[in-house]
Amino acid sequence: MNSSLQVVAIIGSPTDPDQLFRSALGGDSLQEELAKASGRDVRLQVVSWSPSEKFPQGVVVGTAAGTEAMDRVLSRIGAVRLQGVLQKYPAGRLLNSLGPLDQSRVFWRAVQKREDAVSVLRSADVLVAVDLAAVRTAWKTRQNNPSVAAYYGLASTLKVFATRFAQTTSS
Amino acid sequence: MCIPCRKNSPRPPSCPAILDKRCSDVRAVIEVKCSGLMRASKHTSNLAELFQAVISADVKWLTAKPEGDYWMFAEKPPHLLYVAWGYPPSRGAGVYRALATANAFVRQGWDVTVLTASREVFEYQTGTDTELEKSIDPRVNVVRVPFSWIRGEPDLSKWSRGRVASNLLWTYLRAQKDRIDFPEPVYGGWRRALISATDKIHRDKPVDLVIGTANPNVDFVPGWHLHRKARVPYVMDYRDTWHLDVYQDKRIGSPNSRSSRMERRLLAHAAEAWFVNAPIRDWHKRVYPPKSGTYEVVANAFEEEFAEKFRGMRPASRDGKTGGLVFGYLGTIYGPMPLRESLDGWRLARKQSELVGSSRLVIRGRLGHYSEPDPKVLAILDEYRDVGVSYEGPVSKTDVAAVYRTFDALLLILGRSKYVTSGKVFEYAATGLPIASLHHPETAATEVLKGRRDWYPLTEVTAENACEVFLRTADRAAAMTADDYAENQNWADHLSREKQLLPRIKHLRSLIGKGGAS
Repeated sequence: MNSSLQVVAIIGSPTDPDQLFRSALGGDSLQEELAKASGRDVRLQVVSWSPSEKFPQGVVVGTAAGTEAMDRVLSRIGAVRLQGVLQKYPAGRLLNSLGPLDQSRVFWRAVQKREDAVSVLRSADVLVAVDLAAVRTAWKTRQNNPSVAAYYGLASTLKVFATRFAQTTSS
Repeated sequence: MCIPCRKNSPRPPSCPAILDKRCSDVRAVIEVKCSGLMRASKHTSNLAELFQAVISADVKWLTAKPEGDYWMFAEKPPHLLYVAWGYPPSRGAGVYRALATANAFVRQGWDVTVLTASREVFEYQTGTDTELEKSIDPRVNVVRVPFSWIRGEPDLSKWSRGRVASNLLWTYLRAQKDRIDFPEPVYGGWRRALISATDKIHRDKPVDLVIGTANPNVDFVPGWHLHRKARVPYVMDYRDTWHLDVYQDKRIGSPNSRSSRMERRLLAHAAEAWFVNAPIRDWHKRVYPPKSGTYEVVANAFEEEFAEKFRGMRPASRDGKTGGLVFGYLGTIYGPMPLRESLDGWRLARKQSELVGSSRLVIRGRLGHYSEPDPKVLAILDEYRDVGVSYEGPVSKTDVAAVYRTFDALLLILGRSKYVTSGKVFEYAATGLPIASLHHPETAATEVLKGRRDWYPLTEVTAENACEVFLRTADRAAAMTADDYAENQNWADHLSREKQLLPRIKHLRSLIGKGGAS
């Protein structure tokens, strides 16, 4: 039985998603590579901070950033400027990674503001956190629904597909 | 070479080194051939004495097998244990040196066992190049040792709440834990698995020489371990440095830190230490004066097979091109490289020259050290898309030559350092293509290319200078002929891998014949 898989690729940083895909896969299509690795039909959706030319139908949440009350408050009290200063020092970067302006937290807040993004994430069989800023969103979504598989990194996910999901098909 | 007397051929058919032995019976029957084989009649009256006579010759490794009426003696190949965390299918930058070194030793008649990390590490983390794996000489025995990497778990269901809260903090704490085994973050925890594998390899087939290539510096551990345990000589191959910050030209950490003391101890007992260029070697000589062994320069180089792919290259492919030239960068982009200055220079050059204005700048390779590209570098490249700059992804080692051939000129973008040569400068030189050197003149790669034609270095790292270099390189690239390429390729002959490694392999063979270093 060749059941299809709903895969959602999440990109949390402001990087161009197409560049990220190209860097990891060369010219290959992620959807085709996933299908090849698993031997199953794969439907791919993208939730990203920045828009993608290759996935124009993807959900872009960067536009929702800053609308959350916490973001407005942080901006008003000068937290963004402080983050910039701290980023110059190793200990400062450590502090930033624990703070509310860490990109993975900012992205997670933006996702929660967008119903279409939440809906896409809920519909997934597999979540792929393409970059580190996407990990929190994938991890939290999986916490709410433990039947969803969640992976970090495109190379790792392709490897996992070749083993885990191909085995599921044969069983 | 005549094995018993260890002199270069031609040798007489009988060798005095054997015939002078005490057994008169043996004197009559042993024949020595300068091919390295010795032959002795099986019908000798005292077989034990015959063997003793052969063994007591100046030959350390012997195999003996009966063949017809004779015993055939041959030199047994020495056994090299080569330790390289990054080895194919890893696609890391240092993997080419490791691959080439192990293959070179095998081709020179050594038994080679490579100790490396398990392939899952590369599949999940650094990314793999399966084509590169096919370049491993089939005679190399590859032993893969499990390695639990700090970034290693792709399954997010196994990530703890703490790691999700701050991967940076989690990584820091994990690194501290790894340091307990060996003073090196991330990789230190591999020490125990390495030692255990080393002991097993040595038990199964005694090791005659260990070479560890670093970083990671934990690769030096098996050599040190076997030296302490069985007096096996070892070589430290510094692909990178341990306590020298090559960009800041200053020492990393305190001279009395645990890792510094470890490095001092390891170097004091090494048979040889290899460095990629003279400035790095000289820094180590100054900081850790050699004791038992010698410090040698074994530069990164290009493979002969790679250079062959450019022989006879012609500019004919340009004839059909209506557009401009293709400037190419092929390599890993990381560290303090003058990327922005170079791209600003490119933007300026496009405004000043019709030729450059219709040309493209293509970047191939990896962005950062991990399988996921560095988002900061990606963002910079994005800013220059409107001026013909494109990033076209990583390249398999086996496709590298083909990619170079799509370029008309090469960009050598490197961070400023008198210690940085890079590996790609050798490949660049081998292609014969014009090279725009977009790095500070102090960078060590300058020394490698000095004297080459069609090489255009910066006088200082500014966008204006880079623009000037782009303009000059473009003019030259458009006028190159097949003879120009050939002349540049011939000039680069001295930078081949063979020229770098063979003297060391020969020396080490004679060294272990004498019983190794202290």
